[in-house]
Amino acid sequence: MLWEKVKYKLWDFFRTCFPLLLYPFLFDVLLPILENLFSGRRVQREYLFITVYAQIVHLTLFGWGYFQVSESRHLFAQFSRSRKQDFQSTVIALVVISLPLTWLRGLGFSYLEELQDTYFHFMRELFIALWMGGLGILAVWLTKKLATGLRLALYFLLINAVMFRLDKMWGFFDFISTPVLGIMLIATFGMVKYLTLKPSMGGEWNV
Amino acid sequence: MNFDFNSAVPIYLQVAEQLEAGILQRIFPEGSQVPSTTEISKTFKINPTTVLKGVNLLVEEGILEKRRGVGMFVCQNAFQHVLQKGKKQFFTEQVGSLVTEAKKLGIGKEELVAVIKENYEG
Amino acid sequence: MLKVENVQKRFGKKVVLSGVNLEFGENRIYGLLGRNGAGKSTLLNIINNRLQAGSGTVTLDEEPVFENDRCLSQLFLVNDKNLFPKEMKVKKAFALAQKFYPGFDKEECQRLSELFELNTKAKIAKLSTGYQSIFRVILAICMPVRFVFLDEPVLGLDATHRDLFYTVLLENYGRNPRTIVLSTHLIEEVAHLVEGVFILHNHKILMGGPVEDLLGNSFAITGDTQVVDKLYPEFQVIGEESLGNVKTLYVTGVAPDKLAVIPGIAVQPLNLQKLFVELTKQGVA
Repeated sequence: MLWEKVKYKLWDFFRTCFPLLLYPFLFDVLLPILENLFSGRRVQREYLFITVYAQIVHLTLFGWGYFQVSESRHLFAQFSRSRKQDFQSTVIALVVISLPLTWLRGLGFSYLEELQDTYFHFMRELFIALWMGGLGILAVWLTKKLATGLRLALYFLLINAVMFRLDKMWGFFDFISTPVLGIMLIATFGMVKYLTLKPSMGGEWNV
Repeated sequence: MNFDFNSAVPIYLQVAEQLEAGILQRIFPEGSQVPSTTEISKTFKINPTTVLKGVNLLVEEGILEKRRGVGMFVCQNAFQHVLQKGKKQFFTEQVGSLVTEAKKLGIGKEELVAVIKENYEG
Repeated sequence: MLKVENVQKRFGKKVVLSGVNLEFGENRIYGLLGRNGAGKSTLLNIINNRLQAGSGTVTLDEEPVFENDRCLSQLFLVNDKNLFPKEMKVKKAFALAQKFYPGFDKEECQRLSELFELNTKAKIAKLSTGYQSIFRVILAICMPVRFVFLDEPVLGLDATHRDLFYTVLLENYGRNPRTIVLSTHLIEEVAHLVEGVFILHNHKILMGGPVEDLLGNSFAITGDTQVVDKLYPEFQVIGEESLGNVKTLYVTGVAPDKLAVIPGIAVQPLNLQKLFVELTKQGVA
């Protein structure tokens, strides 16, 4: 039964966010891979690790943002699902999407050794965030979903700016070890759960 | 069947009365099946529980009987039963109020009886 | 039993519900009545987990309903909001309903769609107001849940379709008893269809109970003004009308035999709509 909901979320996610995913995927992942396929460089494990974590946190927060604005949550409300269930299926759907993308993205990053420079990394991510924001607005105009797209774009900007500012300030990813990673993941989910249930924090369905 | 939603008579009682009237008019002969609760409910947009209450009244009085899995049927002596019930009600209620009304208008007993006689002969 | 206990809700400074208490029993048809803006939709949204109450609880068989999927799977609400994606067709919505609710009555859904002449190939958002209502009503009727809530189900429906809706509802209820709650402004149309009624007024339940009881002791007493005026202290007066020397008092909570013995007055029963109008005349604060 849960799978039905996840399936619906996947479909709805692609329907709503496809333009937003397509361009980063193309330029962030596919091109670097293609570029490096012919130079034969090897995957760097650290980069894979960092990008996997970043991607999961990124997508969880994005999941919350998406969860706030997506049309599928309206459908879930109509079918008497709790916000909890809606959020759970959103996250699962996003993880399912992100796993192959993350792996590919990690591959892409690792091939670009220039990205050992954190500053460059940060600028690059900011640029991607702005680009995705811009594409979000373009997608909005093309698909006539102005409110949804704009808000999604803003969430993207916020998430990327915050996440990678932290990285720049504290060398966020330097001290990552598995237990710390675990705690951070739990804290992330905990925070999101708190946010989604408190009306004062915007947790109302508002359907 | 006919219902007066503005009457002071509760709907469930009207259901019972309408069914009795049907029995008296031989629309529902003894042994025949009367419309089901759902049918009456659907047709007149009345809550089934209300209809059932009226029907059960007649079941209690032995005018209707329930045959499981089939429906509601008119009991064998129902016609007489309803007739007697009707007569009793006529004498207590209608005749009673007729006399009260006549007295209000200052009509004497003999005058009233004379008019009644005329109506029977006419 | 679905219980609403002391539910309060405000939007910013505006109080909409201040201590609403009611109970819905099993397998009954209820009417939820209230004036425009009384808070009926808010109440139904809270019961169905679409809004969060400021305080108070909603429980199903003593279990809290809020964010509880087990309880929520027994409830279903349709209101005037189309919560389906703009591009979605009726057919797809019904198919999805079946996926989300394995017990969804697909055959009945098809039969009703044909009966109402609903074009299942059309996009939901593109249907007329009336047909959107029909779509929602069919959806609700085919749901395999214990409590179905219909908020203004007949919006935009012509008389023929309304009649059909009531017929279909009663038929379905007969075959498949569950609790149905109708919130509507067309009081007289549903007055005898429902078993019990709740009147929401001034942010609380003003009156509630079996329709038969409410109507059985509500009357309009008409007579000479002087005669009628003497009756004030004896009854729960909810309204009055004067025309020259003649006055009418609207009263409730009265045993009919108490009225029979009073000379010089004419007594008429009140219908549900009149009772409602008199009770709620002061308007919603």
